[in-house]
Amino acid sequence: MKAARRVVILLCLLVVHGNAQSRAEAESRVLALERLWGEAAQMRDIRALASIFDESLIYVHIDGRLMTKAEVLTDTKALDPVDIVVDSSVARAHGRVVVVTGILHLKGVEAGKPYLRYGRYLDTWILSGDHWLCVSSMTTPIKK
Amino acid sequence: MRFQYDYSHKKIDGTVTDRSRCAVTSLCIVLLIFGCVTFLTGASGESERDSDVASKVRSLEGLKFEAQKERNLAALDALFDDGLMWVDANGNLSTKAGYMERIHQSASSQLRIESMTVRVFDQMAIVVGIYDEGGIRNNRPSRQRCRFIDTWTLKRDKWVLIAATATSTIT
Repeated sequence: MKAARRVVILLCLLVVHGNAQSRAEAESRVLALERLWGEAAQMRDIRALASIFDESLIYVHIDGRLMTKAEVLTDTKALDPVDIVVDSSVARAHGRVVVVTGILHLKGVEAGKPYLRYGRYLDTWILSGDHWLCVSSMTTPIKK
Repeated sequence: MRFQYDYSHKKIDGTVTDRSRCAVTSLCIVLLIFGCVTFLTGASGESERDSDVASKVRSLEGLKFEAQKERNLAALDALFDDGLMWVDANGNLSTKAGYMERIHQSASSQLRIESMTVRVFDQMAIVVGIYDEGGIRNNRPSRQRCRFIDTWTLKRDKWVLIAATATSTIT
């Protein structure tokens, strides 16, 4: 009887440990993809960006534009060089969904004038097969 | 011992008769029709399920806006996941508790959903839309139009809000 109870407790601990591990794993994978997104946007690597966006991506740019995946890719291709710094990123997994938020610093030149913008982004990722894909992203400007 | 088969539809030399060919063709047609019906009912079942989820989430959005307007903390508590991430139109991040505290202390406001689209992904739904908010800020009437994205997920047979973000910059 005692042995059976021990086995049940051990199984429960294993399940809890497994869940926590898979949650942490999902969060760290998505945070790595977020870093990749930043680098790809900076290098205007359209192929890399296309691979992390879901076909039905809903994207709201820091300037308020609501864009599709195709529009984001076209926009990135035509973009002037921009420095992107991301900090305070936090990810939270909910099963096959991960939500990430952080602060974005954008530094670049637009129409010959330098600009510095700050925004709080919130991205939603979904596990599709073996791949994590971003399905929505919005950046809210932070007034400093 | 050697057996010799002589079915009525098959000649001894192994060639297939018209009757047998007809039976195979009929079987293929039946299988094809069965496949098509299964595929179509599966697809329509999926789109029916998606549209059920979309209308469910749409009504939850309505309840959420109503609860925000009326500062109904019990209703918000039931709609929000404990791990909620809330980004307001100024870019401030709040937890569920932080947002509830803010709502509790805020003055009442007028909220109206202007437009809303729901996209369903298996056990998750994304809502994108625009709302109009009116109220009193610093003793002065204020009004702002915001675009929002809300993320809902199914947890223990219940749809809960796990993320909400908004921006007043609309172009």
